[in-house]
Amino acid sequence: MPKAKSIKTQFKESSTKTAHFDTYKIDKSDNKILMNVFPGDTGQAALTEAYLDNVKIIEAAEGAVDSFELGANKKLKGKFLEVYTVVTDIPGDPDLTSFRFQLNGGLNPYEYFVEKTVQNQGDSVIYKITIFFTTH
Amino acid sequence: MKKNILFFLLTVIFSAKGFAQVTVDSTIKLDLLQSPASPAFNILGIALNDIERPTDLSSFALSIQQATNNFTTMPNSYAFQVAPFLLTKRKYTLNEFDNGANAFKQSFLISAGFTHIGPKGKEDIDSLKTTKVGFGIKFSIVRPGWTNSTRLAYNNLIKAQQQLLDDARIYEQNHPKKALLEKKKLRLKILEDKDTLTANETAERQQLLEDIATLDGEIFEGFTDELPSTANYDNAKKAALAFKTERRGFFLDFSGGAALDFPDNRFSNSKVYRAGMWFTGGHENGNSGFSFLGIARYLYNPETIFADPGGLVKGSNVSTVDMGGRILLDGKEKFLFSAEALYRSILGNSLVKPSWRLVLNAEYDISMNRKLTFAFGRDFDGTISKGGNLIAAINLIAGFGTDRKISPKN
Repeated sequence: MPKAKSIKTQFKESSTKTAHFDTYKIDKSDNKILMNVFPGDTGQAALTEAYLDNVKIIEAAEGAVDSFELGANKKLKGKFLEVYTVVTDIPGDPDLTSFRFQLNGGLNPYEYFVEKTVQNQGDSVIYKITIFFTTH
Repeated sequence: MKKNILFFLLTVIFSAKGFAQVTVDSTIKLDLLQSPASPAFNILGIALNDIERPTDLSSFALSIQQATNNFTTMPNSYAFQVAPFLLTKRKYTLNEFDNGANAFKQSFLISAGFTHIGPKGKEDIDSLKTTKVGFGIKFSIVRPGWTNSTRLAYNNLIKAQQQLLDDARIYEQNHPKKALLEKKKLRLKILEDKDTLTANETAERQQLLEDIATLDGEIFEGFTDELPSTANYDNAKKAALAFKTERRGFFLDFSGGAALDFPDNRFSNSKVYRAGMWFTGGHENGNSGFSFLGIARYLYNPETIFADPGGLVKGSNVSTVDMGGRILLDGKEKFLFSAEALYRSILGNSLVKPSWRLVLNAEYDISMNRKLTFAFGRDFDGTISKGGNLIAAINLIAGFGTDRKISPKN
């Protein structure tokens, strides 16, 4: 049985973890799955790329990714989506970086949000989310 | 004592970026200062310049104006401005500031100001001091784009970010646990192909999901742990630190506002001191060379007019139209010289003659967050005003807690 973690340790881990894995429930329809990525606070620089089963589907998207069509429900069954976003703090702007990820078109809307404060001006944070599309 | 308390309260309440000033407005932010463009100060008639440059905003800014030449008394003019659209859930990443698509929402600000001074030339005479409150709005109609140097700095930053993403992918591909991760992913895919799962398969699937989450997290966190010590991370940091917003091109801003006067400092007794609207436009040349600005302004003065505070046409609802220009010379980011001239016409009243205003202004960035300013000129009412003061900004920044910039210099 794994050793229980203290609240302090859990908080530290949760506040610094920038990778996330989750499943997204879909059906066998032709409905399109749409993806949104809203990185950073106002004034920060962000770059996103994404892979679907290791095939690059988004390359060097600056800023937000709005309503990107991943494909039909039935076409995504059993596939892995990996999204990487780097957010760079610009001097003077807010030091709190963030990553908001949304999926629509499956059985239910999905949203994941994480944020991390950089220690120094100009620091970067890389966020990653991996999604497995499933009907089970 | 009351002023001290008021100042302290404002410091605590508005624990956001602020800037302090002696005689003139100055904005303090991490690596650049800029005189603020607050319509509240304009409508109150206490702004340093009537013709303001376009600005990029942060969501909140607080300004303080001191009417004396040193810090022997507390400031007696305050203004804050809020960019409501920058406070919403919708965020604007850096690239979205290089086009006009979101210029209105990114530039729209609401400002409010307060002053407790006497009429021009007699600001410090207690018996003549009245309280005035001003409200204003401002937004860009046409906003210039980034300069080539700003765009180049941004592109360098994007290249550095791309390198970080490439590094992340390469790190993952070469990680010793990557093969195990891929193996578990493959098994999960095989189970996904089945229409129904047995109890054992369901349990296996659940375990696979947990293992994949753990492995994926471990591998990526391994990369992020090493990331700050890499050369490419430093490159991205250098690119970010080198970025400075600079715009070049034609612009057009709209401003408007109204000010109330409380002649006996009682809330129940107020009158409209001034109301108006104005367009400011011209050609912004970035942080070097000459910039040319112009203004067309309409002001309604129910009780008195700026050109004749002695009361020659007091209560006669005089309207004025101001037309003027301002030329600015930026010198290697340290010096800023400007000259502003306005001509004021009186509408529907022959008792007051047209008037003019001419102000020469010089600013010098002494060091980070410190600015020396000097202004000399002739105002509409004929008084000569001048002022030049070192900004003891550090003392006041500490009070306001500056973790956000007010505006990049344009």
